[in-house]
Amino acid sequence: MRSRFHEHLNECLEALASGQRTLEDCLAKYPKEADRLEPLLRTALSIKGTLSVEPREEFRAAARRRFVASSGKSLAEALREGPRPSFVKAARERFLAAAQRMVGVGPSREWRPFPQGVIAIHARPLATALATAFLLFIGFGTFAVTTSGSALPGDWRYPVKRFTEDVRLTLAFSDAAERSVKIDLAKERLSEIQEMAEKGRPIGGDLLDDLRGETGSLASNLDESGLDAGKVREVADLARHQDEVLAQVEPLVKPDAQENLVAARTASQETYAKAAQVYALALFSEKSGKGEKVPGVEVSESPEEEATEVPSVAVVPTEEGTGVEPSPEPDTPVPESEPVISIERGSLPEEGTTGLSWDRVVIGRFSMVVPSEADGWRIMDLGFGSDDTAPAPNLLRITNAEDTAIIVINPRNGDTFWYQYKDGLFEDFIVRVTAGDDMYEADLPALEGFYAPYAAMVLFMVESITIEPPPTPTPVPSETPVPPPAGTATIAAEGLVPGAPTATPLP
Amino acid sequence: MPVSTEVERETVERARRGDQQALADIYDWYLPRVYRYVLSRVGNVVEAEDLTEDIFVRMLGAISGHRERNIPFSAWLFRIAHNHIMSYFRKAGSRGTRDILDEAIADSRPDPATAVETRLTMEEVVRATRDLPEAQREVIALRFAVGLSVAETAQVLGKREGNVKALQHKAVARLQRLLGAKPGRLAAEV
Repeated sequence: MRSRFHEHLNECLEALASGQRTLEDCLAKYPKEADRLEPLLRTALSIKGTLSVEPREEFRAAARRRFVASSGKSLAEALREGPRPSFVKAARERFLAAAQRMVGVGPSREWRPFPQGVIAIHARPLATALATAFLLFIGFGTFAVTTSGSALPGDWRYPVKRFTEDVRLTLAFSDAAERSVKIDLAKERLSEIQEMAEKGRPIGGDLLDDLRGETGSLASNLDESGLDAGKVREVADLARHQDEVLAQVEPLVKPDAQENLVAARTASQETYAKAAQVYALALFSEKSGKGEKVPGVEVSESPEEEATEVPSVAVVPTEEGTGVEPSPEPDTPVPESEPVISIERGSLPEEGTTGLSWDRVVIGRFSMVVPSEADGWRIMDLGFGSDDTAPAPNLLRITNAEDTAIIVINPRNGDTFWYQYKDGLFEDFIVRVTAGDDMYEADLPALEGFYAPYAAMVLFMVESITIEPPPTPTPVPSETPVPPPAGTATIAAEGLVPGAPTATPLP
Repeated sequence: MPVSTEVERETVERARRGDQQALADIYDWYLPRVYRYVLSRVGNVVEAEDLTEDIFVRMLGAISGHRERNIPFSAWLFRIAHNHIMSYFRKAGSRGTRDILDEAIADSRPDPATAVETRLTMEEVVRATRDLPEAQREVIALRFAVGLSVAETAQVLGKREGNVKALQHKAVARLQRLLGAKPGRLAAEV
């Protein structure tokens, strides 16, 4: 078994690292696997030896001095009583950056009306600087602030606009508020670029760099936990829109800012890819798995909406796999126990099934095979007991070890959706879906064109799906034969209804 | 220098309270491992040194909240390092990373002569790992450059131990194919 080989390889690596065994000991312990183990162990040892480098001594000493010096200062701040230490530190840094920006403006034209002493006072302690900033914000700068919202780079009010943005960011007291402000700022930079293009003004590298910085900040926030899916979606949409706008305004970008344009577009594309992936994961979070819609997200074509409804027709493939029939309407409801998910490990041999090892998943009347953990695939968010059973989820979600693919199956009707991160884009693909009385499956050529490495595997999973008919009460004898219900669904042998549309990627 | 779990826990607790000697001890224990991790990911000594310093500064800012996290210190620290490296790659992606492996790498090894004769070079390893998927690259760095256990690696990456073992197997097998053109070197290593 592949999983045992993983274990043996790892056991040998641990034993070699701790010095408990030699290579020969390991090979002798697993003679049947020795031929496979030996080259892998030698490679691992060689890599490990190569990576065992030490930092330069002069770097180590200098960096240590800097670390020790900074540790006292940072901790004194971080351990200050009162608000959350990390907040105090971050807010202070943001404030000082804002104050520094204002000082950095210096005696330029737009700041001349302000008394020079007011500007100089920002080098004083935090409380004084904060008070001064508010005085500027509320008093002297009222006119400039209130009219600076539409300012563009080069306008005399533009530094005022940027300063007010910094103050706004400084005063965002919660992480959520800060994220919202950052989204607004990225939108503002993009809006400025669009407006400059409409006015025929050349676009410089500084503005593009600012946009890239705002976008990068949004991307960094995507690493945080507890993000609202709606906000993530907003970031994804914004990043994609940014890239489109930047492509359109390229002719107006100054010649010496072409590299800045490329960098800004790259940041937008990367942020989009990341946000799309985080968004997909948020969609299939535990919350949506329980059939609740994710706030702010339209899910009309996504599987969790399916999960909230029991299909009106139970799909029941025949043994030949060529037909389904509606379930009979029971006269009285038949109570079913709370469904559980159970796993039968190693239910199929590796050979002939795309080279993977397979487990069988059973949820109530639903059954299908899935690639095993030994091959790097796992069922998400399930805590199995010792008997390999757990409460059944509304949606079965399976992901690979690299977190680049998520396969979502609705065990009520077998609908299967496949989400794939590929070449910087996150795409979704309907593999099997019920529509009315019919059921559609994508065919292999259609899938292979997009995701050759996984296509056969996903189709094999889908074709293994069976859904047993629900338990029925004892039928009441009737003298009149009941005709078959209308709208009997069919499935072609190759998984396609003749003449039915092949599933295609969603835009 | 390896220390017992109990000593490390006690030192981290003192560091949380602002004890500078405890912070210095943590720095001394972990600097080489963090540096190896970063160097194995970026492949450039100068950038590895800068990033290593950044990671320790980040650790300073976050250590006061460490007690609340149900995760060993080493896994916590390397999660910071992992996030920082990911952030670095995102930013560097737009401007291009330096792709030169300095002489200092080879010079810093315990036995440069032996390295030339029998070992793979750092450049070969870094270039080969760049052909791996990101998750496999991380596992190689954390397992072989840092020396984390499978359990610790799983905690850093937020994966199950079974997944880490599978990724490790895939990565080593792939690297064996990529680097296997030099069987003499690999054979001579052990």
